[in-house]
Amino acid sequence: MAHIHLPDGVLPITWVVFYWLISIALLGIVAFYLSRTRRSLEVRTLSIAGAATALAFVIFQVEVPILGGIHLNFTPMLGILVGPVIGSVSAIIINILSAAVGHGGWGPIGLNFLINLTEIVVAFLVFTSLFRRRRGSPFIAAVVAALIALTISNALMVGAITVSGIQGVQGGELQNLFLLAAANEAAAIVESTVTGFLVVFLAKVKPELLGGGKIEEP
Amino acid sequence: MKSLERGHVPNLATIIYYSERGGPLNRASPWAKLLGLVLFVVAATIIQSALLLIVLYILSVLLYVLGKFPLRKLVGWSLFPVLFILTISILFIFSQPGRPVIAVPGVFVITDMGLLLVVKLLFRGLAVVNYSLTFIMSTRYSEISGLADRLFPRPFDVIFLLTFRFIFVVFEVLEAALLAAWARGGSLRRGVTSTSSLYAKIFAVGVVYSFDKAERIGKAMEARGFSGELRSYEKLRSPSALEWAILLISVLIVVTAYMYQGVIP
Repeated sequence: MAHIHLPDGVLPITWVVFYWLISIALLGIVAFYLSRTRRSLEVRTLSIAGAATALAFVIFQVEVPILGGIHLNFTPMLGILVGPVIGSVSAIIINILSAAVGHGGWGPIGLNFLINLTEIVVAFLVFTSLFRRRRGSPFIAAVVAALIALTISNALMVGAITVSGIQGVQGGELQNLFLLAAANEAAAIVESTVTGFLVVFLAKVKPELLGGGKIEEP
Repeated sequence: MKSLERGHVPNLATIIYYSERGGPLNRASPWAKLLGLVLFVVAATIIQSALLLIVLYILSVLLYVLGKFPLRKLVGWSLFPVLFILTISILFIFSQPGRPVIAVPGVFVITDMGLLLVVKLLFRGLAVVNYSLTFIMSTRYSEISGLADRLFPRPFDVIFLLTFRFIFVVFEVLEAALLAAWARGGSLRRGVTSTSSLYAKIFAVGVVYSFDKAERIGKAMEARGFSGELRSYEKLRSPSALEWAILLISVLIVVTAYMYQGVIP
C-alpha cells in the first residue's frame, strides 16, 4: 500500500492522545465551516460525499496486481474529486470503517487521519493549480498531484513515527524507517499512475467531476 | 462478493448477517460493547507485559467464540493486520539489543528483545482487531446508526450513514467490473502501465456510477422531503447492572495490570 495503516499498540498512549486531539481540533474546524456555509444542508453534497467515501473504502479493498499486489489509498483521488472539506469528513469515516474491519487501529486513527488529510489537501491544491488554473494535461496534473501528496504523507508518517517512537523499540528508528519509506514510495508511483489514467478517463467522459468539490450540475 | 472478499478482507455482507442474527453478544448493550472497545484499545496500548498481552489476546478470541462467529474467517481476516504489524516490526527485529537467538554471522542477528518486540506488537494489534470484529458483528445496523447519530456532529453522522448504505452498491458495481475484466484475462500479470490503465478504467466505472447514483438518490431524497438530516430513532439500551459490573471490574484489572506490570514478565 501507499502507506501503512498503523495498528493498535504501535504508538505510545501519550502520542495516541496527542494525534487524536489535533484531529478532533481539525474536524471541529471543518464542522464549524460546514455549519456556516450551508453546504451541510445541501442534499446533493451529502449524497456525493457518502458515495465518494464508500468508493474510497471499497477501492482500498481491491488488490492491484503490481509489485506483488498493492492496495490503493485513493485519498489523492478523493481530494481531486470532492476537495479538502468533504474529503476530510470522508477521511475520518474511512479510518473508522477501516479500524472496524481491522485495517488500522482505533488508537492511531488520529495519526492515520492526519496522514490521509495531508494526501487529500496536497493533491487538491496541486491538481487545482496544474489542471484547473493552468489548463495543463489532466494525466500529468493528476500524476504530479498524487505523487507529491503521497511523498509528503510518506515523509509525515516517517517523521511522526520517529518523533513518537514505537513501543518497545530501542534505537535505530529513523534508519530502519527509510526502508519502509522506500517501499511506500514505490507503491506511491503505482498509485499516481493509476490516478493519472483515472483522471484522463474522467476528463473524457465526465469532466464535471474534476471540480474538486465544486461538482457542476450535468 | 467473492471476488473482492478473497478471504483476507472482511465482507460487510457477512458482518451484517452476523450482526442481525440473535447471538449471545448481540443482546448486550451497544454502549457496553463500545466502552469495551475503548477499554481494549487502552489496555493494548498501555500494557507492556508480554504475558498480559497474550492474556488480552486470548480474551479477545474467547469473546469472538462466545459470539458464535466463524473462527476460520477470523484467521483469514487476521492476515492483513498481521501483514501491517510485521511490516512495522520486522524493520526493528534486527537492531534490538539483547541475547542473540538466531544469528547468521556477518549477515544478521535476531535477539530475544527483537523477537519479543514482534510478539508484543502482534498480540497488541490482533487483540484489538478481534474485539473490533466481535463488536461490529454483534451490533445491528440500527444500533450502529443510533451510535453514529449520538456521537458524531452534523453532517458527519449523515455522511457516515449514507456511506454505510452506498458501500454495498459500490461493492456490487466494482465487483461486476472486476469479474468482467478477470474473465477476459485482466488478472494476468502484465506491465505496470497496462495494469494501471486497466484498473484505472475499472475504478473510473465505479466513480462515474457512484456519482450518478448519488445524484439520483440525492434528488429522490429531496423529492421525499429530506432536508439533510437523518435521525435515528433506535432506542439504544443502556448497560445493565451486570454489564456495568463487568466493565468496572475490567477497568480495575487493566489499571492493576498497568501498575504492577514490572512484576509480571
